[in-house]
Amino acid sequence: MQEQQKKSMKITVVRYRPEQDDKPWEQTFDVPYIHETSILEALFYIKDHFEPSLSFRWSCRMAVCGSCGMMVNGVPHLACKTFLRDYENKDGITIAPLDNFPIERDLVVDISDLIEKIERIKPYIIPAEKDKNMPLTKAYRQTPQEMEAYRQFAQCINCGICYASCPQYKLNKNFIGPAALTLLYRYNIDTRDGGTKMRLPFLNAEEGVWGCTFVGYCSEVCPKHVDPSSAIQLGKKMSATDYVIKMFKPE
Amino acid sequence: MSEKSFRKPYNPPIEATWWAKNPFYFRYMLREGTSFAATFAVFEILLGIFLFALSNLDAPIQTAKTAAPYLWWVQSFLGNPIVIVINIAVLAACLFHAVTWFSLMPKAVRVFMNKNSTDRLPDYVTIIGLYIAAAVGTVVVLGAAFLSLP
Amino acid sequence: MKHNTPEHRSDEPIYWLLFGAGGMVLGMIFPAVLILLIVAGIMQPDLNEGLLSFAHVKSMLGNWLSSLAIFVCVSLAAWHCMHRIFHSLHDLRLPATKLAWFALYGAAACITFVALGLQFLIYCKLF
Repeated sequence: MQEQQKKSMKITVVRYRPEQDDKPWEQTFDVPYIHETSILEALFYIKDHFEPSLSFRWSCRMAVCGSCGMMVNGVPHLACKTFLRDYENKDGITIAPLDNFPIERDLVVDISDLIEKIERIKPYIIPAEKDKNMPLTKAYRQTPQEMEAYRQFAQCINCGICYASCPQYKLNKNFIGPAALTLLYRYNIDTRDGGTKMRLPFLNAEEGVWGCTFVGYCSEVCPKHVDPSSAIQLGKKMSATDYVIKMFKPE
Repeated sequence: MSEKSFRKPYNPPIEATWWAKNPFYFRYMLREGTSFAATFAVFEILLGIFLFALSNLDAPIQTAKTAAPYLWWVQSFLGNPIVIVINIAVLAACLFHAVTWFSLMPKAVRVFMNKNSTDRLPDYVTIIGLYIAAAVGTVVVLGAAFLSLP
Repeated sequence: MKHNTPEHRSDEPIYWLLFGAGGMVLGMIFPAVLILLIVAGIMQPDLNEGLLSFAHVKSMLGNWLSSLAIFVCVSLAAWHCMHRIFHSLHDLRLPATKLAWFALYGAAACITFVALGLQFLIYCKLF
């Protein structure tokens, strides 16, 4: 600290206190920082030194838990993975709660809709009929290529950043959304899984892949490089193939 | 529920101009907007075909009179400076559409290099393939048009 | 739009496939087509000579292969555009209603049938 030049940055935080406020308002702080200071640490500093009532969600501080998603200058980021040094040339930083979710308090949003949608598509391996009686001691075998096919899509940490970046979710809250559709596709192409048939109705629906217009911003902002828009386009191909098959071979 | 809830979630209003504030969204809307330009081209071509059908195709010898409707389209309509300017704008829109379309296409292509490899076909291969296809398409259309000149 | 329960299958695949094919046509074929239209506008062809002169178009529409190619390109482009415009209505928070759906996709269907009818008529007359 001694060697490093003392720098400080103007940080504007959007506040919302349900007991007192009817709508969010902004509060600005001067926060000292060093090269390694993350947005999350800046928020800790504000809470410790200026505003103990400031609320925000966090846990792991290392981009694993997915709790600290927030809008930084209008772009959704994980606060723990975003650094003040990258905003030196801007006039300060504005931190706001994640877009497209109801604001509960200050930077805390209610992501229960996202959780419900991820649950809805059954994001777990459902054994196929033939594996029903497989002993628990026996492993499901998979080639490296079979794993590589879905590996990228399995990196999702359910942080909700893709939902905050998605205009289609903004405009229509019934849209299942990027993370849930990515996980849906991820389990459908897993060779160990036999639950495709149960998930296809969610994929094929208007609120499923067909609610997406391929804006592509989710892939841009995803902190884990999951590339949801790719999974959704591949899901569209899967849905279209299923549509054509069912046209000629109805059940 | 016995306890009183103090929750009062705030739902920000959705503005119709949401796309104007973020350059990424703006580019997306511009991309979608190219369809308006292309619609003009579609109607323009359809008008040409319609006026060609209106021309007297049964006449034994074609004169400027029998072909009048079509000649109006090709000379007065296509030759109108405003239409030429619009067509140049539509051409630019089509090129912008092509660039965005080709750059997004790799996301819908997920192929492995071979049966056992864990390496996927690189994105640039798909993109270059599409540009080559577009170049071939352009050469075929222009070639066919100029070679069939009477 | 239609208010579907999650189990309701969307018919979007049909329109999406047409949209995708139209997008390819617009990106790969239409730049060349527009160059032709612009050049023809500047060159001012007449009855028998020049690009898109009457005789030139007669040979294009009188050939089944080139006539079919023109029909396919124009109609696919129409489906692509109407699909995008419909979704843009929704993006701009304009009423993307069932009525708008029928108007836009109906327009695409009309363009397809009008182009098919006219080109078939011309082909029969020229043959």
